[in-house]
Amino acid sequence: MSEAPLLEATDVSVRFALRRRAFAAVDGVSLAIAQGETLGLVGESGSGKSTLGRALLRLVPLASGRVRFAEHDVGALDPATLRALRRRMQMVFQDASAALNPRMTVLDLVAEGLDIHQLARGPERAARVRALLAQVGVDEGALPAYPHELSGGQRQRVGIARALAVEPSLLVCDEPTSALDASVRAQVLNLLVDLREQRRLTMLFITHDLGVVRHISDRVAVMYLGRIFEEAPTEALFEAPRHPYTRALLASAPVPDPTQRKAFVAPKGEAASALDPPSGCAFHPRCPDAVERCARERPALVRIGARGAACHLHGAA
Amino acid sequence: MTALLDIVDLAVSFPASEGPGMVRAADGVSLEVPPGTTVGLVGESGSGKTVTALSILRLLEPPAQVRGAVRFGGKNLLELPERELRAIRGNRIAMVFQDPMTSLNPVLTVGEQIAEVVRLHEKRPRRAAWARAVEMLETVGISSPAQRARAYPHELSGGMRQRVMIGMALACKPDLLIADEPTTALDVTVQAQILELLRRLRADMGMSVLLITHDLGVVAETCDLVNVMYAGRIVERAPVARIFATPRHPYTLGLLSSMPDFAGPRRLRAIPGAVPVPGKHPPGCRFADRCERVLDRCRAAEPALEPADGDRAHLARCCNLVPKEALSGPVRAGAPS
Ligand SMILES: Nc1ncnc2c1ncn2[C@@H]1O[C@H](COP(=O)(O)OP(=O)(O)OP(=O)(O)O)[C@@H](O)[C@H]1O
Ligand code: SF4
Ligand code: SF4
Ligand SMILES: [Mg+2]
Repeated sequence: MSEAPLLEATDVSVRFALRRRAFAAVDGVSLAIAQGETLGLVGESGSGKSTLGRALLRLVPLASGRVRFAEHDVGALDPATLRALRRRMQMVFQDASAALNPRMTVLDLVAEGLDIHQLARGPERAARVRALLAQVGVDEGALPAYPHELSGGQRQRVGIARALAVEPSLLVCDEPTSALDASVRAQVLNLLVDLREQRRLTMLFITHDLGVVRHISDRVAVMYLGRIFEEAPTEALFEAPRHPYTRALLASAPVPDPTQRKAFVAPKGEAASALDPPSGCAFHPRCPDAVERCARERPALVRIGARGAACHLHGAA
Repeated sequence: MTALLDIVDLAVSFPASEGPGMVRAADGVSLEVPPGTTVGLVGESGSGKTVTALSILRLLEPPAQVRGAVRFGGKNLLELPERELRAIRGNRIAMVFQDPMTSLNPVLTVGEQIAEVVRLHEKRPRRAAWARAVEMLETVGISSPAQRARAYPHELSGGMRQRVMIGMALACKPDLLIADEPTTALDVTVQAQILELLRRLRADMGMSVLLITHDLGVVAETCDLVNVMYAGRIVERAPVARIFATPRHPYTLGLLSSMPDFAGPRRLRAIPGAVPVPGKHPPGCRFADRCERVLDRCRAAEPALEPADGDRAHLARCCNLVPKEALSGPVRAGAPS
């Protein structure tokens, strides 16, 4: 990578309070995404994926750490500059029906960003919306419709058109296909792949679906209880996972081939809660390889070349 | 071999959301569950899987209407007096739902709930029923079962609650377990534990399972026989290996091809359009508007579910079957090789 990454997070933490107890939903995460690259972020529920995605756009406040986007220090921006920068960093959500105002028509929903940033008005505004809808494959007839009158796939496309309207360079997609049926999910994935190529979009793609992440990402980061456990180019990660949690995750995925049926070697137990993370390596109560040191000492994410893993035993090889 | 469960020409109707009249959410569904077999019912959202499953134990309330027959143990469950049905429900046929919170009682400990089921169905004394409850928790892989038996549902994680549900369902050693998306709400590592558990218990107890899911990976891992549903109809049925190797219905092929083919080409072969809502499907073949093999005659009359090229083990509802060599290469696996 010769150019500086478009987005760079350094030691980012996000804290929330639940029942008057503070806990770290994201705990010292560092990552970088190059211009035009798609980084997949996988992990199970509660691992902090969405919170990290939102923190990168400063939709939740950082407890510590830095986020740099292009030449801006996102955490330090004044509100006006931040608003202007939002144009370049957009988000697509899992549940489009919750993210779309039910009282706005498709036309106004897609045009909202154009209005806020005063990018187009009058006939130009309508023309831009039409072009965007055409690009995401929604019929123009939907312009006067309200979100509840659309199918799940159409709503998700409107959510994507809305994000694209302001011509962002970074798109954070948070489980954009998880609520969709298989046949429609494939349509939306194709759309995202096309858009990325046409617009040279940089993407952070958050999902728990290993098939989807393998399909769409250039590189993958695996999260567990607020931390990144492993990071690698997509094929390297799937062909030769290093971290015991990544291995467990891949081994747990059902294989859509009945001739390859296997005995699952699922790790025991479930992820602990971020409210009360285990000492040392957060995976140690479930890890088949755990040694005494793992309960005591937290492994750092060691990056060597394009790969990195946070594990005392499998960190460097 | 006679089937354990035999659903014949089941139709489930609801009042139409717009206008008068009823629409059919499941229509002419016939399927068998042989003894000791896991039968999959797979399809996208709204295809009618859940209403089919709920009809078996008459769990749908009016204004829903259920027609047809559900044969089990020589009786038609749809016509059985309520008292006789209750003796079968939870005893010889048990059901597990996607969201265990809706079927667990929040004010009773999980041990009490399982023990209650045991007492009702096996007429065991309280003590013995409690012991059996603890034993079931252990069977379904809950650690420290004696302590966990005293926990309330909200004190357990999602995966543990699903295990409790399965433990409760299996406490009476049913002949048939109906599981509706039992792992959909769970993380993949926990899903793997539950699927392994279901496989093990089926082997140990010799029960049959009717597994409802939208996930083809889960189907491939667990089912012996597969029924594919679309718009209220079963459109294809075959042993699991054939469904994946030689799907004959264009919809099944479409579903397989729209799975993110992990290492494969960047474009997925998506099925255009979306699943129709009940009552809004086209005349003739219900898949016609989305089908790449559609012919004029597909729209003239709906094809019947028939042996594909005379193969009685492989049925498809299509008048222009997918040729056998259509699937280009096997669907690749997500796990490391
Ligand atoms: N009580 C009800 N009243 C009216 N319509 C209903 C009722 N229950 C189900 N339906 C409709 O019947 C159709 C089939 O529903 P069903 O729940 O069986 O689908 P499914 O295949 O289980 O879908 P999913 O994968 O989303 O669970 C749907 O269109 C649904 O909206
Ligand atoms: S640090 Fe120890 S417990 Fe953690 S993943 Fe590595 S071996 Fe397992
Ligand atoms: S009957 Fe015709 S439209 Fe229906 S699935 Fe077969 S080829 Fe397609
Ligand atoms: Mg259902």
